[in-house]
Amino acid sequence: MLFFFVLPLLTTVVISFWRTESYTIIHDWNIDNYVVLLTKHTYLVFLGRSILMATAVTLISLIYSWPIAYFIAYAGGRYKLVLVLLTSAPFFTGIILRVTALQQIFGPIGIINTALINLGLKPINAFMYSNFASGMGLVYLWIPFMILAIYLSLLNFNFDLLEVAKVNGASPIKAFFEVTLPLNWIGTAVGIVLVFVPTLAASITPRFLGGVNGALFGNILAHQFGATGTWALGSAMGVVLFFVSIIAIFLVWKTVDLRRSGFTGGDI
Amino acid sequence: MSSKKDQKDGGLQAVFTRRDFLKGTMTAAAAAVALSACGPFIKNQEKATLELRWLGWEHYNVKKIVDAFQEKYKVKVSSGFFDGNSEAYNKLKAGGTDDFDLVMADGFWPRLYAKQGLVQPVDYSKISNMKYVFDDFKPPNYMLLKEEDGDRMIAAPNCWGGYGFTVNMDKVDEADAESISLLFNEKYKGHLSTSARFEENIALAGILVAYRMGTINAPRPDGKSFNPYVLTDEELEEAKKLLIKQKKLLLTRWNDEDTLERLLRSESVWASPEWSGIYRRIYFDKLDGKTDLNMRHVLKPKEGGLGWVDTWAITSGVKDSEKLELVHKWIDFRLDPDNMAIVATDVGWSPTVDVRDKVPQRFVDSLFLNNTSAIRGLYQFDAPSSPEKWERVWSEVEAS
Amino acid sequence: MSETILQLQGIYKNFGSVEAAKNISINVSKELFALLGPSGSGKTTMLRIIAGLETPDKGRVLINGRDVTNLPPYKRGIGMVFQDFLLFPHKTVKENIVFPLKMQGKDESTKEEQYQWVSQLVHLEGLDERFPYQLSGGQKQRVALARGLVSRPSVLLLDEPLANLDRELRKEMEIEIRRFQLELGIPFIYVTHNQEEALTMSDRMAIMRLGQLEQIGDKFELYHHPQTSFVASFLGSTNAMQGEIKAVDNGCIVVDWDGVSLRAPYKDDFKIGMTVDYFLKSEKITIHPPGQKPDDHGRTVIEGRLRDTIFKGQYADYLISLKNDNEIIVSDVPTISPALRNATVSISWPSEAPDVFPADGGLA
Repeated sequence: MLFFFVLPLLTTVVISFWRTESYTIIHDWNIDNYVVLLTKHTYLVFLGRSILMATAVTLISLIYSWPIAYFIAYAGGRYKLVLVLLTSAPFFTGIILRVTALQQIFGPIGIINTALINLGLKPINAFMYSNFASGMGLVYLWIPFMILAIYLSLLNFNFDLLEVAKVNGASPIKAFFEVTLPLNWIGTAVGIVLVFVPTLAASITPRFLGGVNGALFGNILAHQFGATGTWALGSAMGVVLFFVSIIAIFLVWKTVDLRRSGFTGGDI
Repeated sequence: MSSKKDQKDGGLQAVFTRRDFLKGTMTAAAAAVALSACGPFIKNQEKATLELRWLGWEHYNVKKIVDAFQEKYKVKVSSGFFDGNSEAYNKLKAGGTDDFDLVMADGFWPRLYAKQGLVQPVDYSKISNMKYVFDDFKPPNYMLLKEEDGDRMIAAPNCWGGYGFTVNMDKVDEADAESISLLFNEKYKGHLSTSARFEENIALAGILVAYRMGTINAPRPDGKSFNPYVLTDEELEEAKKLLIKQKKLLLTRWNDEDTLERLLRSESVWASPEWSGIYRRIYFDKLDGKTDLNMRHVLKPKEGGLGWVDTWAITSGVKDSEKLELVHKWIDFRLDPDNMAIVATDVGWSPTVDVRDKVPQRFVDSLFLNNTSAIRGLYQFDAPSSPEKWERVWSEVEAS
Repeated sequence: MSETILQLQGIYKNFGSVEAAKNISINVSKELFALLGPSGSGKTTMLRIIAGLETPDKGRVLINGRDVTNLPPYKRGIGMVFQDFLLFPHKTVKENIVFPLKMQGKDESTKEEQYQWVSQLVHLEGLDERFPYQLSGGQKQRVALARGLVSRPSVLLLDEPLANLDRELRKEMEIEIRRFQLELGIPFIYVTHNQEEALTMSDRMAIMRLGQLEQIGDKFELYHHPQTSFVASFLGSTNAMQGEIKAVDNGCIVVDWDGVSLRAPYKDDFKIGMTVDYFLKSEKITIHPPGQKPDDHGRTVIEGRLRDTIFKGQYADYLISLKNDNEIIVSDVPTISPALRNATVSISWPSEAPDVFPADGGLA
């Protein structure tokens, strides 16, 4: 188990310190790859784009996921499980199909733009082949995870606590930030990580929907292995991505205070 | 090195069509079956029925033609398939010369095979149908089928094609259409598209840049003739600048032909390079009255373009004289104009053999059968001379 | 009569087809007032209407003379203590208690002052920084109380606060809560389904059933002089019997209960032949040792077999099997020896002891 997991990672790290020349790996120890990645404007642009995209996608996912998860947990009744599975349904169809489906809806000749044209209005270009489209695609892709994480947390949430808040003068918004969110923060944090980290590495969705300015770190990373044969640089990218993800997870972890999470029982 | 065919492999950064996706999955199965079946039986069957084994692109496995050959010469034919030249190359290097009698290859690959001793000379005198092959695909017009330092022919031509621009002539001015600069023309902002493959994007930009700089016909550092995949640092830099300026003119870069076809048919995109398959489909629809789109395919822009010629080569594993006769018969059979006509209409690629009087006019037009001389001005697909430099250039283009 | 602090005037409330409150009017002064009833009686709805968590379909709620019917909870001057405490698990004791003040936007010094006052009141000093999971049941209960009292409400509402506590803790808290009420001098509205608890803690109570007020008044009144069958059977340990009035004589009636004759005081609408419900509190029955036959003058006397004795320490419950295949429970001093099981004994009670109502008057 450890073997299958650790060995590929180690290989990646090792290769990242070598270099390639015309499709051959040359065992020449150096740190050039990292110097390039961390100093050259070009690659920092990709990293920056990915971090921004992941942040935006995570925030938007949060805004969408919370009401959905809340509604299902609070008002779902006996249909709770079915509803949650339904939100995950797109997940079962595979990424290419979902990206294609998005193109059918948002594309230059997709449903939305065709309707606009029929109404005599101009089609909206931002919908397709842009970072906006790429972002929407990524939200669509990863939102089931966040909904699930928050939903599972809400299952163990005592909604009666909101009555206490209400009786004592809390508006619904205040009650959410004073009671609901803190007590479901761990689920939310898990959801954040589940969306942020994969989005950071996203390559397929931006490739299809992102347009000419939509290349993210994941795209360029995949490019190193699939097309240009520059595996050493690619491996270094992999390592950088890994560390950025670790930092993100660490930052999220820091926000969790177990004592204030609502876990009862046991000594913490 | 890579070629047009290699572009259809199923890697992460690949341009693929639905057909090729199927091809990819079938290849694995077919190759496994073919190779495993071949192995232990080869020795035995050589004594019984003679068996011809060829390794090539799957779409050339036309049942009609194969069955007819088996019938005519009372032999058995079996095949193996690949998506990209490098796949076949690696296979042969690993002992595949014993498993296959014939291998298909395009562009610069036959010469590479010959240099590595994986193929042996082809005796054109044994291939009577060479007389039907256009001169454009023989020396001195096309040299890549002759060994680099010598006079022997190392492969026989099969089909050819380009990577020209499919242009919507209702939207694009006549004066702009026949040049690579069309793809970089501000007038058509938002309605241009290219594939996502970085090699061809840089190569086409490289041709335009070298043409404008005048270096395209001047002596090259490596002494050979111009190859858009071997660019000087100066040419690369200029190509990069061009590509960066091009970005805001593009609607998108396409990853698969279906997307491009939709974009062209909906007139969201007015020009894009492609292998002419989409053009042909729209053209046929026009002839059938199903559309009134006015498309043209510019096979060779005035500065030059990219193209390919695929071939049959005989592996060095063929030692037996009876087998040697048979392989030449195969090549001859495949080059028979009637069989090539089938390839044109059923498979959709343009034969190097003249079949103009054997296929409907619409094929003559859409497969450029009257235009074979175009191959002379087309540069064969290849792999970047320095992947590292090209990767950097591409990243800079993508990041800007 | 002390002044009325809380008034409910003609409250009606329906949830769909369910009538949770039908014309409820109650006045509460500075007392511990119990709202007692079985589940579904509408008592919790009543409490929520007073709190402002529900609005009545008809009627008004007044606190200190002010009509608060349409005011949100925090503007009514009420405090509330919930079943299961409902402490915020993610907040410290201090944060929990101070929460109402925080929601009302009070400044730090007010918060500190009120906090000190209330934590002293309920004896919670030194636990400021603890979290609920670190507290004992009793401590949690006091934090819940403190939170309800911290904003110095005019009325404290308690929704079955002791329901999930163990017996020991419950007994302790019953006394504590009563003490707080006396000390603070504000009305406590105490909802419970446990009649023993209501009897222990309250001054006055209202018994509700199916959205209606069965009876309201001083607890002793309700206990000794129930006005409906339901109240009679609900409070205390009651034997319920039913029979036909056989005879009427001298301000008494005689009821035939499956062959056994019972005496009861006469009431105006009683007639011979009428079926009546006959309720008798266990402690009003005397058990006589075997061999002793009491005088039946002005008393009902029956013979039965002592099936079992349940020793309760201060008293005992005797299970008496009668010849009409019925059983009566008698609560009396535990002087009858357990060895006397299955002996024939006599039980008796005064004629005025039972509460009798016409049988169609309501025990569904």
